[in-house]
Amino acid sequence: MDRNKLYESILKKGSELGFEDLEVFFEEDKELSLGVFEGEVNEYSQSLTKGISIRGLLNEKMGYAYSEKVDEDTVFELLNQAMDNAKQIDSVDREFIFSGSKEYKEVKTYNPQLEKSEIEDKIKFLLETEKKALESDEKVYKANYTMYSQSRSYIEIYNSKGLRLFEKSNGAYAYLSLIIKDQDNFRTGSSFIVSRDFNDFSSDKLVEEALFKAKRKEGAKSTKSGKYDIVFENMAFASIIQAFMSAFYAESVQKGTSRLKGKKKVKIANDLITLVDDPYLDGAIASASFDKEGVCTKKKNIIEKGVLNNFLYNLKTAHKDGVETTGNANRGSFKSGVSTSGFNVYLQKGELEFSSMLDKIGNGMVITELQGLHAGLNPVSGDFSIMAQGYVFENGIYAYPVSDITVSANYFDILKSIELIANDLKFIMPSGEYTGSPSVYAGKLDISGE
Amino acid sequence: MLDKLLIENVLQAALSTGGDFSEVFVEEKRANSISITGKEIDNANSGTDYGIGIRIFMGNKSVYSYTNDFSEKNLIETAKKAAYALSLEECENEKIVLENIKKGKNHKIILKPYEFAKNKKTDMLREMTNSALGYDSLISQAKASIIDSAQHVLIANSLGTFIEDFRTRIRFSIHAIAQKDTEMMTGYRAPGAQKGFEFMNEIDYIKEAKEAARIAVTNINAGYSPSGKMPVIIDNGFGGVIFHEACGHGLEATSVAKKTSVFADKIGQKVASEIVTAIDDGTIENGWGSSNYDDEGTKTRKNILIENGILKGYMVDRLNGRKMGMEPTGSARRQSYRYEPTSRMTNTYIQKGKSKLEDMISSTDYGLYAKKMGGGSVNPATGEFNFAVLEGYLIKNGKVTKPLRGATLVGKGPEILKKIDMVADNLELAQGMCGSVSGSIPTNVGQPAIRISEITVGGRD
Repeated sequence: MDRNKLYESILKKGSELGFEDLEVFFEEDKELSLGVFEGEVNEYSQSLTKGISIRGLLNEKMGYAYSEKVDEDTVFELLNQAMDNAKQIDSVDREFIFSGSKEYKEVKTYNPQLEKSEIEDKIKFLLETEKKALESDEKVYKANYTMYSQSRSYIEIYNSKGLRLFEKSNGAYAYLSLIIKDQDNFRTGSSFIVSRDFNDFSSDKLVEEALFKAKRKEGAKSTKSGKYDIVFENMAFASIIQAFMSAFYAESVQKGTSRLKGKKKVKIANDLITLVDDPYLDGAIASASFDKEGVCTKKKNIIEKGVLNNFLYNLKTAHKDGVETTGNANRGSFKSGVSTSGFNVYLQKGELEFSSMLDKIGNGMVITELQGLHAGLNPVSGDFSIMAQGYVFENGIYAYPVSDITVSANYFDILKSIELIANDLKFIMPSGEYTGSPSVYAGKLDISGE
Repeated sequence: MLDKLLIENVLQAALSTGGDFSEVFVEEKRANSISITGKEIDNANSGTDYGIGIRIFMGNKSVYSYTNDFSEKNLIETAKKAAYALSLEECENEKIVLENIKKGKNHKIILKPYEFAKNKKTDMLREMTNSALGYDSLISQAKASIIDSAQHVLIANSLGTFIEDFRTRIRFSIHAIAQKDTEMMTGYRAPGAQKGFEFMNEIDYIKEAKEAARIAVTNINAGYSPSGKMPVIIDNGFGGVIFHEACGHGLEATSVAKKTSVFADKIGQKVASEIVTAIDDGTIENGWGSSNYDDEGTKTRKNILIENGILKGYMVDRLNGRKMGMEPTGSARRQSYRYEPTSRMTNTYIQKGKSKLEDMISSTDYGLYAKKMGGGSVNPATGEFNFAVLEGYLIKNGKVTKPLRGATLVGKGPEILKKIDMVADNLELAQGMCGSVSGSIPTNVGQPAIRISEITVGGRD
């Protein structure tokens, strides 16, 4: 089936039906997921799927419809559904179908080598990883997850304003979680690697990190409730940043669900804080040349030296505020409508070595892991109260591990109270944005324990 | 959706390299979503998911493949490719003959979702946000949505099973935001059912909208929760998320089979206090987590997980059943054809007890009354869980006093179950979405009010 012919027929029929403008979004995904357990492959999944979405403007209101049946027959049904949906919208905000940016920066999003390497090699890598994990320490009980997942995505945007864009991207991640027996308790430690280059996947790296994270919990127990000087380790703080990203979307501000309303160009954080959204970060997994509306992307400082520079916009929200779009339109998949998202988002690192940071503080607690983030936070107020693990430090040195505690604070207050930033920038598994942070000293926060 | 003979050929092609079991899951799902922010309908989307998942076992190994190209050529090729992943040696295998198709009969739908006008939904959405916004001057914003889906599945396997099932679900959500200066707090309600549009006619959605607003106002006026170990009374309905996280996931064969659950090898042992009986029942009529057949084609059933504190059974799917030497319990579920099924919860609840909520409160000197719960999570390997309290109050001298905000309950599953010392008689179920390895699926949680004698409360004092 010639897809271009199909798209032309959709645009033509859509126009006849009454749409002012129409856009077709096509997506084809190839996925491979592998997992091993106790020396055997316990997960092996392969797929090739595709889907199409039509969105169209009727009286400047957008209606959407999608289908995983990509053929001439479903087209009529999709157009009718999209039309019906467009008729329901009574929002006064204008919506847009975009004709294209003047230029797009070329971004490397696809590595053919990743797909050429054999599945057998990937299985071997996983088996080797699990074997090394099990042999790494006598206390290792099991490796509950040793996984590899690879995906290739191809999207096409074709609309009645003449926009013709396509993008091929791929990437993979490997994930290891191991369990150690610690007297009556089990402790887990995990690690992951995200990359487009299979050479980056190292068993030793995965095992070393996972084991280190599990072992430093040995003997951990709860501690007295109270206020402690808190350092968030890089990955823990990155997960908090990611969880509260929606506060920076113009969409949330305009809908009255962000505390940052009216705060553009206002100092909302400590001078040390610069939060970057970089769609061109070398080798980073969320890099992109254009957003999901086809607008060219750009690198920006969301927060610059403590001042809120700008919100993240798409065409609709930018028009509502009378500003330029920042090229941050997102669609979760062809099945979702247009929303907002950053790309590779990170807190700019400082100059301080992590150990020097602990020295400067003297006594306090490092929070290394957070669990149940999605449940324990309020994206609107910024409040969070999350189960945590970490360790107490005295005179700048590791003293003893803690677990079964919660750390409670407010994200927006923390941005103001961060006094020190280390130089250990690290990224976490992508979920929406690909987010990274260095370790930060957040001042005195509430810890609940005994 | 797919010809019986073609399905038989695909199942047979899947066994062409010596696999001992093959299964296909054919799915067509039509979904609609429409949402409102304030007084404006701002999003309307609908669409069709359409695909097939092919699974093959060889002993305890499995491979999975999925596609939405339904041409005979592609289906046979996909099946063969998956078969080669298990073994490169081709072998003869018998022709597969499927039984006569069995169709799911329960969970009747009266008003099919795609057969009624969308403007009925928009009228209801406007009523919801208007009610929430008008509840109190502190309410600054309200958002609501209605999502419905109609899933049609065909499940067949090399043992001859041939099932057709329909699962139609509808759910609405209403969020209210209360604001004081720059502070904002939320309240929400999100009831749903395995029903057609008649659900929206049966439920008092205006009452739910006002309740969401009431919770938001209570929270904006609330002080922070204290911290430390204390008794906590968790009220009914979504309070059942406690059991879901503290224990439920740990009883799924998904981790029990690998012995990476803290509840592995504990059948017959006392894992909870004697007054706790916990059930997972996939047959509850029109239940949010119910279905006639599970996603492997096994009839769903009422499974008693814990009886009077003793662990009676796990939730078991076919593959993990092989590893554990146990029969499947009708617990295999998946988000869609894109996921391999595994054992999951359906409608999970603590059985009603004999106490009264009033007595529980009056017999508590100092503690937390968690009237409404938010979400939670668990690490089944260590048993560590956490949940958010959506609406809470301080109990002092046996009385409910000031409202509290931002409390989190944390602990270890096996420990907490043993600390349940009172179970009330006001059992209620509430709807949620549960995420795990086979995707996000609708599940009911539930319980009567329960008292936990001691649990760590995370607050800000």
